[in-house]
Amino acid sequence: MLLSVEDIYVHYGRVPAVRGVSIGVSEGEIVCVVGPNGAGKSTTLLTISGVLRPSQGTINFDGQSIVGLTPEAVARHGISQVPEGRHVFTTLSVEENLRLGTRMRRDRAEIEADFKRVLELFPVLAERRRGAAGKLSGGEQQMLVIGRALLTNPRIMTIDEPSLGLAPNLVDRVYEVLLELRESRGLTLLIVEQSSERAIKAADRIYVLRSGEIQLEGDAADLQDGEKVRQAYFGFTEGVEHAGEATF
Amino acid sequence: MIDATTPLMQRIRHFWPVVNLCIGLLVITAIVVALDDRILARTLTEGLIRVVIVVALYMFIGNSGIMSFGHIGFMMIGAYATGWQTCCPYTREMFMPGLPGYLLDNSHHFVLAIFLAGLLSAFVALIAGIALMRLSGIAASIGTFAFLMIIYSVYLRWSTWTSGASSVIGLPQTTTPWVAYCYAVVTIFAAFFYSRSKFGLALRASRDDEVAAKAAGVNVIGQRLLAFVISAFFCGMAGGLFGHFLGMLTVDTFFLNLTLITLAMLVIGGMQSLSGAVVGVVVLTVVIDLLKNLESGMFGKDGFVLPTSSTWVVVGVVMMLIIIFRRSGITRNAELYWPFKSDITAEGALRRQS
Repeated sequence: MLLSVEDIYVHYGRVPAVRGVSIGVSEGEIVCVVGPNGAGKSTTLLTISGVLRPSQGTINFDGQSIVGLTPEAVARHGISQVPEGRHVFTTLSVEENLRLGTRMRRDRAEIEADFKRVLELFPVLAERRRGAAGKLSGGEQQMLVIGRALLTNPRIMTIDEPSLGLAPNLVDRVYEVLLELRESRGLTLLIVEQSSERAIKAADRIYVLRSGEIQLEGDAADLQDGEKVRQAYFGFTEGVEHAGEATF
Repeated sequence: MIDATTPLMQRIRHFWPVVNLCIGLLVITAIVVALDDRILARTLTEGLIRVVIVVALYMFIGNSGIMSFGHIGFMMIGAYATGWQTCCPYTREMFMPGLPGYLLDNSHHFVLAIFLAGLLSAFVALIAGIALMRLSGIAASIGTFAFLMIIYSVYLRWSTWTSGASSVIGLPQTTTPWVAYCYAVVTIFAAFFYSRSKFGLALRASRDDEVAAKAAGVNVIGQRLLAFVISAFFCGMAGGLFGHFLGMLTVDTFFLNLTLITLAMLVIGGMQSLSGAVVGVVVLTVVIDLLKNLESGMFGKDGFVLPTSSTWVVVGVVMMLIIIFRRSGITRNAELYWPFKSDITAEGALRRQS
């Protein structure tokens, strides 16, 4: 296991947001964590990236504990984070945004090659190289953030809701790029999504999270029909009508 | 047409904003010196010292996005530290009897003195910054203001070193317009190189988005601290220059008035650009000088005379208008723009080949 989260509990004040969650990601794998609003998906990712601290449980990366490290230190270990909501540096140029991805690296020659590769991957970024990143469209900003994360040369990339607020065709493009990256460079991915369909299509393995607990875990291939996932996702046990009454 | 794609032109393009600022100030300085008007020359020298201060403010405020009300405190530290080394060799013991023996008996050349004073300011910034830079936003600003209050109170009561509420008189008036110009140019270049360095880039990133900057591995507190220390160094030197311009030191010189006027210059010019810092100083210096002349009746006894102190009313109104209608300042936070066709895009490369 490259990344293994074991039995973590995370509290906001006294409110538990994540209760006993365990997630494992192996090298070269795409793992998706799906779940409704407030399930604890983002909390889990933020805990992995060091923004939040678990009150219990362990997080190991490549055999080393990363609990209690600052976000910068976690990033330096090779876990690159794409936080929710397209965090581009709006007043900086596109190029400066990308350069920030390389600041932790020392391998100069490789950096230039990677830089070119990212610009080839996202031609629109090459065109707007000198323009302010804040002027890019939503989809372009998502590309920029992914490009920046790639340039950290990560061992694993964690992405929080890559499809949030994007038009469907752009979401397709984002996933295309992510899959392409896994093919070409064996990138390991941990993705958090609300849409389970999309996740099942892209992932090797799926975790369904609801109310801060893992409801279901399994190979994406086994969950193709989606019924099990839907049940775990919504917590329906006795048919849609009945649950509908309860929910609305 | 000028071919803007050669390596030389690329280099010029890179330095375009700073070179322009320095040439602009050079022209102004040369003209004023040539006019040989004492009062105008004083306004100019003071303006150039303010360029040093405001550009130093830009290094921290512009790049970090944190408003600082404390930097004039660093000026005070620098000014007095310079005074300890250069002031009035024969009466130093009278003004500042508490100084250690070495400082009582030795004087340094003012350039060395100013440099050492800058280092002292930087050191104090390092100590204060370790605590202050952990704060963000308005809390950090209030913290820097508290710092200014502390420095002011300490220097006011520390009479064996600072002469307290009375002034220290007899600093050699070595800050000529050209000396001030040189310091302004050095500061402008330092600010330029800093903000384009990887450290400056990291800090600007944290200004835009702290979460994402951390995700990119930026140690935000460390980067802020670095900027705080560098800008305190230049503020300290500006303090030394100012002391050698006035020829005397009082604690009140380095307090709220100077804090507000320099911040107004930065805000009016455009906080996030180096050009904005310099333009703000030039514009406000001219406006204030003009208004003061109007107050003192520049058109003779019967001419138009502004009521006393209306200068500050006007400056206040201008600042409000800027904040309301043009939040990013006169320069809109941009640097002076490159007048030739851009050549970095793919189309540019194609055009070059054909």
